[in-house]
Amino acid sequence: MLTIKNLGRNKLRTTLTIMAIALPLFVFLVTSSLKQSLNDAFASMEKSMRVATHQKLTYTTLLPQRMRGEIESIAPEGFLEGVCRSTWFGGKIEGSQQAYFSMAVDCDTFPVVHSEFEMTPDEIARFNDTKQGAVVGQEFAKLVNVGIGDKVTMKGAIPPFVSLEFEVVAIPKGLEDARLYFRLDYYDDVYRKITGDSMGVHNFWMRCSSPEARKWALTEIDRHFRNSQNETVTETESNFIRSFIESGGDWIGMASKVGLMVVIVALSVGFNTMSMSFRERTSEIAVLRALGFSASRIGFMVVSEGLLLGLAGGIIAVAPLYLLTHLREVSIPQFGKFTIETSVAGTALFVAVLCGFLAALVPAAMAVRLQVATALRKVA
Amino acid sequence: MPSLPTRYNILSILARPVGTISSILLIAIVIAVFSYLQAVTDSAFNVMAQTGDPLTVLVINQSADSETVSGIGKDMVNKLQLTPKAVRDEKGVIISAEMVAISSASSARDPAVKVNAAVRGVDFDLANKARDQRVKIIEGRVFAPGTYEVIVGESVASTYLGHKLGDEIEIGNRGIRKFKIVGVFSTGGTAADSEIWGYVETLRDVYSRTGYSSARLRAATPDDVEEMIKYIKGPSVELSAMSEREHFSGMSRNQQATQVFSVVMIIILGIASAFAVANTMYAAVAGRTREIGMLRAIGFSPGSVLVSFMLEGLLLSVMGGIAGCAVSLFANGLRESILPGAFTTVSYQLAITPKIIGVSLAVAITIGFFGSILPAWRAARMPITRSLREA
Repeated sequence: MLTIKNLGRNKLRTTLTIMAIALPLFVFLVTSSLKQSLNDAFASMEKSMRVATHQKLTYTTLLPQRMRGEIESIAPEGFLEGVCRSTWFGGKIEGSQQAYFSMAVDCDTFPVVHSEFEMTPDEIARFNDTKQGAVVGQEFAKLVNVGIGDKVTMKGAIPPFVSLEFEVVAIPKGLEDARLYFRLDYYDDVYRKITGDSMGVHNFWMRCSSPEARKWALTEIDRHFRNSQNETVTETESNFIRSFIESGGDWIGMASKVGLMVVIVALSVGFNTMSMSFRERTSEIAVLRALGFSASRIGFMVVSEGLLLGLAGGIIAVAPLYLLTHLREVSIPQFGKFTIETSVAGTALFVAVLCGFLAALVPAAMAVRLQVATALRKVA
Repeated sequence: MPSLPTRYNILSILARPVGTISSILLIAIVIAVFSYLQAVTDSAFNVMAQTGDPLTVLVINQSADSETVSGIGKDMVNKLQLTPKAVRDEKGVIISAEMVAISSASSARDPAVKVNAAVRGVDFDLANKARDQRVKIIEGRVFAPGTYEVIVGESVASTYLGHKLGDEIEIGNRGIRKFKIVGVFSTGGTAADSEIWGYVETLRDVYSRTGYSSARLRAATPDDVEEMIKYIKGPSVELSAMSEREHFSGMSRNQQATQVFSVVMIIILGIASAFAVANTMYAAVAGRTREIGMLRAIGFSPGSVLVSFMLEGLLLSVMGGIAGCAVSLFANGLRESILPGAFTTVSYQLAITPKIIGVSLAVAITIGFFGSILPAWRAARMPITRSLREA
């Protein structure tokens, strides 16, 4: 076809253009994939039967441990499958400034509330039998280089900044991230010895048995503690995590902004090339018109050239990363598994073709409206 | 060696307006994106750096890395009275013992988004003395000690929902109380502008704190700072001390990820736009084959042809760079926020500084350079006879 011939005529320019479209689209692909995986995570949590209770004004204020008993006693029979207290520890390993995701939790209800970790009965039994026991994620085991039965010492990042020694008792199948969970009663023992006080709790995580039970938890727990010394807010898991992430900055909004900007770049690259090759070929197009090619046919030719450029750029931007993440697992530190979903890859490809199309519109219109006689007279 | 007049290049650029405008537009967009990203990281860094006064000594618990998780007892604060070289007033050494807690509020832009404001308990006079009198009340008045009154930083008043003068906000942990906002203060763009200040003893009561979070002292010279830090870290007090500047610049290290991100972005987009410049310049060279042959024939050297075409590419990119910087000025004054590591949101204004404009123009010139070097090389090496014969 004439279009492909035209593109092949100036190979250098075609290559440069395709690469110049591919690079911004690659950025678009990555930012929209990150955005998509965050949104997917929220969407899957939306259905989650898990809710979290924290102090009304902040996530950082500690609540008394006894509130677990109070929540359990006011819950109607069978509504809550488990209430798991959790307190942030933010442990650092000696000699490193990196604070790991580490939490003190109730060992009896932890496997129920976090059933997605898929702890085996063996692992659950060991966690319940070992006071210093710790459940760690696969990434944590890899980074810190520990296995079952190994000891690891961490120093907390919040007062009273104690050092605790843990024994790894489980690396569950469903826990991939660099996290460590350990027993709240162990932390509490150490805490009491130092401060003389009982340790506080950041969150009460609960697994509800039904949507109806979840509705109850979201309203009635807060109502119960209203006007008490410890007022609470109970949120769905997705709301809790979302506001936690968003308080660190509007990452999703930022990714969208960057994505939009790079698409504009890709568009103007396409426009640049298309208008240039049209300008060079003005007399050629005039000859074609004079030979009897219809104006719409010529316009179609220019547009299809743009589409082809966009498509080629899109494929180069999308294909390598798409294939890479689908053939083997890719994970980003601090973020977790990274995949390019087919829908995101499709969108990026569509955007690429759209860019090519839009870029070719103005040159195509110019080609259609070309005054044949004037153009033929003009010396290029 | 005679060189081609620049006017030749300017006229050549003007001869193909569409190609020229689209190349300039492309570079302008890339440079605008780059300036914006740079402003985001730089301004965040600056707000933290400004917050840190080199002559204010910040004292926190030895195990803590920020004020929000630090705790120091009253007895420790008393020991600071003996700190050598510390600036004094008529009552003795200026020690501002402060308490910091975190309270969440809704963002005014989107009420669904929660932000974490630092609530700071202070004795206003002492706190201001320890900060070199940089805290100015711009609306209302200072809170009265012992009452449920607070003042808010100007960023808080403008970016948080329901935090204006006269509003009531909820503060506290064991039993939440309503506090009235009686004043708005400004420290001239430091992180303190994102804080809520109240009387320290009232807030300690509301938050059931037995001690304080931190203390601030004032030094007269940088040498005094060293001596004070040595005393406070030493056996007589045993607390962690550093200049405020050191503390906050350490916290702004968290911005490195954004820095890396914007550098990677600009490399990718820069290569893309260099390709586009190359395209434009290759087209320019191809379109003027005969012209180049003529120039060579009348005695211009290959070097001057090379320089001339390079200049043309650079001209394009500089114009794009200027346009991009001009566009990015619209971002000047926009508000963004960061979480600098201590779990409190600090909001700041974007500033497109001369430095950013300088770096952006340098990037534009780099793009122009790499985009035009190969096409210019091709133009310079063109055999005269063949190019003259070409139609």
